Amino acid sequence: MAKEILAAQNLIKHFGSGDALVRAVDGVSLKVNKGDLVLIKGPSGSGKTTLLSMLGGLLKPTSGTVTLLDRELTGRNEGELASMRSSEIGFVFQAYNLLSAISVAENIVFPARLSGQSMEKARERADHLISRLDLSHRRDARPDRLSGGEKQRVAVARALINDPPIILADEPTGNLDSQRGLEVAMLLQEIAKEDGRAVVIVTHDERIEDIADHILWLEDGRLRDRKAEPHEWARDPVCGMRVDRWVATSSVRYDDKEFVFCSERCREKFLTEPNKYLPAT
Amino acid sequence: MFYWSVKSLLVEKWSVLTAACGIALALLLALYLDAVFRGEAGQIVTFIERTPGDVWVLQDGISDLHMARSRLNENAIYAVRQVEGVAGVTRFLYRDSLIGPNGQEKLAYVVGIPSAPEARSAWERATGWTAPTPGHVVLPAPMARAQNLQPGDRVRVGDESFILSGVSRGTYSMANPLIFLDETDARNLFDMGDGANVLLVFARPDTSPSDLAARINREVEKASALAPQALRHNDFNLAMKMGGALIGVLEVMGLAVAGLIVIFTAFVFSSNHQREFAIAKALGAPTKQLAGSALAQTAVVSFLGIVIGALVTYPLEAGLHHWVPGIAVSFSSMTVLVLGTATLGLALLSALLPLRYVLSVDPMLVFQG
Ligand SMILES: Nc1ncnc2c1ncn2[C@@H]1O[C@H](COP(=O)(O)OP(=O)(O)OP(=O)(O)O)[C@@H](O)[C@H]1O
Ligand SMILES: [Mg+2]
Repeated sequence: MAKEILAAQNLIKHFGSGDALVRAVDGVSLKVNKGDLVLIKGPSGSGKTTLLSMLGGLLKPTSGTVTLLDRELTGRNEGELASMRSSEIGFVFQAYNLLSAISVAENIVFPARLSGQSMEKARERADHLISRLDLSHRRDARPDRLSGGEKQRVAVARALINDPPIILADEPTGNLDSQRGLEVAMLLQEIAKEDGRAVVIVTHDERIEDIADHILWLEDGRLRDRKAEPHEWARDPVCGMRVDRWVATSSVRYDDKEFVFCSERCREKFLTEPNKYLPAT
Repeated sequence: MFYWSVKSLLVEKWSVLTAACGIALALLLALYLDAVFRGEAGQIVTFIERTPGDVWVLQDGISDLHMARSRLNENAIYAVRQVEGVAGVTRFLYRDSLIGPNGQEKLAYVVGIPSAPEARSAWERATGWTAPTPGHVVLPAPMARAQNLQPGDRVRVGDESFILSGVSRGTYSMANPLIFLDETDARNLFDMGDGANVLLVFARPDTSPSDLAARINREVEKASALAPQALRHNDFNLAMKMGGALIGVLEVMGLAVAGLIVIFTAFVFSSNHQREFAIAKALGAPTKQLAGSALAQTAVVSFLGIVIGALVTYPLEAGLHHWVPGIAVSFSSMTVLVLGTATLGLALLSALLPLRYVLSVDPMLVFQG
């Protein structure tokens, strides 16, 4: 049986209260195994970042649990969480988040300093990662001199420096052109498949879907597994356009059937004269 | 972490340097005033330092030359001469008087230099100052320059008029300029037939000055004997004390300005680096280390400011002597040390304010674009 790295049980995160209550994540359970590459997708504001930051011990859930390598994150204090973040989780962000004052090589070893590792070992690992990620010619450069793709490769190297069992990435290709985006995606796949790490990626990027083992669809803070049936096509009865049921934003139940529409306009048209659009039976 | 925080400072070397210079300036402000008073006090005591002799004798109960209240009569002088171990005495007149043309008089201390040729020449050799002959006066150089007086010009001292014969250096302070007359002229001016204001006693080779001072104090009722260092110490401290309140206020102000600069810099710096702190936090930097690195940054900036301040002090002293010779300034290493330490302490204290801001940075910032 595949080794379980990360698990979440009924995770809930609510912001605010009363009328302003936002159910950013609303009862999510998931498991990520060694070597798994899991995508989390969903419309903007569906709670992807909120979920990822709870998985990474950056945000305390309102309720529910997160378990990393059989150790529960929930209920730990700030110091313990920080130490787990530095040594057991690798983060990759859309905005790269490199430290601007220090060189590529120093950025890469930064988490090793935090986790109190032997610096000699860390430097060896950094050298290895620098050549693996094709950054040798850039090792002494400051981050502001790098291209986007290079920056993200530095961020990936930094995420790997402490040899964490899991990588969490929020829109890692979001700021990159399609070529560089693809390279970073392939890199993350390699990290999952060859290194045997668990990799969780939040993304809007369609092209990454092909390399994923699982795609989780998050909507209004709730999850659906979509890998089995990536799309469920239906026809908009008004205009006849093909619409994916999983993503459709307007729908209506009529006559015990669910109809989906390409737009709110079509839905309104349908509601004024349903019979006109009903398929002949 | 420390490496990172110092590097972050280097990236912004201009703002760091500006802040450090601000701190240096605030420190210098406080140091400068102290130096002015110290310089003044130094000039006040040069006469004591240079005039040769082993023991100073003043009127009983008086232990400094301030306001020149000392008066020794012939009986007391005779009694001092009789003390065992006394090789000789020189009498000086030393009193305050007004100097300058009517309506523009200034207060000055008038020293009457002994008329006896051996005593005069011994004094001239030891001090390097020229003693005035009867009818002549020697003024401090800045005073002569301020009144545009040349040798040969007439100068009013009290109710009499004298001819300027030369200038002395190192005896000018704004509060207490020292001018020199011949003993006879000084006696006439002060209407003092006999006695003296101050005696300088020379000890026999087999008698130590401190023993001699103790003996004079024991045996001569109406006299107070002091070693030269003791008298110098008393006069110096008295002069400093007069400026004490003012120096204190300015020092506190200087420190407050330095503190404000530190708070401001640290605040600007931490808000500029909010994202970087968030990154470090997200990657797992412990709060303690973050606090430490923010404090280290403040410490480096403040320390730099203090070093700049201290380094500028000495060239500034030389420059001021050159450009503004009328104001004697004398920076004290001790004051630099004390004020420097106080500034550093205050800086770290001030850094605690923005520190709270650094610590409350939300690591979730890393998810924003
Ligand atoms: N600190 C917060 N306070 C209040 N509401 C928040 C907070 N953080 C997130 N939210 C809300 O929670 C919901 C989910 O936000 P989240 O950032 O997780 O969405 P997302 O799926 O990552 O969106 P995007 O694709 O745009 O990045 C949104 O409605 C958002 O406005
Ligand atoms: Mg997001």
